[in-house]
Amino acid sequence: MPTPPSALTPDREDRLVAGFAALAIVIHVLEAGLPSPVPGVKPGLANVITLIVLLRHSLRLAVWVAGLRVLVGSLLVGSFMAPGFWLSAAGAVASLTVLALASLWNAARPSLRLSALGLSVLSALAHMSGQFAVAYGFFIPHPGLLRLLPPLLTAAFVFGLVTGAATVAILRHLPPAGPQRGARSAGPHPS
Amino acid sequence: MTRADVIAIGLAAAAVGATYAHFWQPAMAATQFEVRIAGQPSGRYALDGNRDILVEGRLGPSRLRIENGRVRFIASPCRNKVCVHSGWLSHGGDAAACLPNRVSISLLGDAEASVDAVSF
Repeated sequence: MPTPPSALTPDREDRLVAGFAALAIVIHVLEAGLPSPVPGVKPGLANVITLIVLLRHSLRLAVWVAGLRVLVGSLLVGSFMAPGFWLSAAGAVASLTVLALASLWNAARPSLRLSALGLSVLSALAHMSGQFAVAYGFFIPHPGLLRLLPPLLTAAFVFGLVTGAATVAILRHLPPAGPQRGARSAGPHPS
Repeated sequence: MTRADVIAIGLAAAAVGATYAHFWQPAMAATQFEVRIAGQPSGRYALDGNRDILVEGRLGPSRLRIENGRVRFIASPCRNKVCVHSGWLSHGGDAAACLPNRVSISLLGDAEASVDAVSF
């Protein structure tokens, strides 16, 4: 039976992005419901999904998944275009930039490859730095805010380790990635 | 955990530690302070030298002492002397006030922002 002609046919990659983004959004929204002592401090478990997509598929897919999560997550939580959204977006841009650089590093130096744990810590710190830069630069340009930076970065560091460990554990239980470009960087890492 | 992870996490921890060293120094020292009388700015004084300043408030003179880059109220014609008990002030953003006499001082650091915060 011929398929009806359509201008927009989702391919395999689109479905992957949609599925992973949906997972990440659910985690994002659940996490938004957790009370947090300080604004900006949260585990960032949705980053687990970004890391899994990055390691098992490609950076491009990871960018899609993270971007959709920030956009749709903010729409669901009701913070779209509010300060929280810009902080989230700045954090995502910063952490994806760092992940992109780290991917280049991993491609260039396979012998000194970063696993999900290292990637997670680096991207968590980048995420916090990015959102802090926007908070300080646009919303609260008060020198007192700088005193919050060290404890915030400490929280990011600890949560980066936690989500990184979670990612490593999950990756170990996933079957090897399909025949996809970039799948080389997937498999379980000896740790 | 790979060798690169160990290096990256070690560097990250060092960077976080460095932010403590950098941002948790004693607060930025103030360089001058502003005196207000009844809410109106009445003058700015540099926090150098050792001297006393008399500020004429509503009830009478409040005496401020500047010493070693710090300033405090040492006398004021009020009842509770809250201003005097505020003690020495030396950091940008610090403030003390004698409400009955309507005299307040606020210390100014080098970094002065046009707004304190934006809230939504």
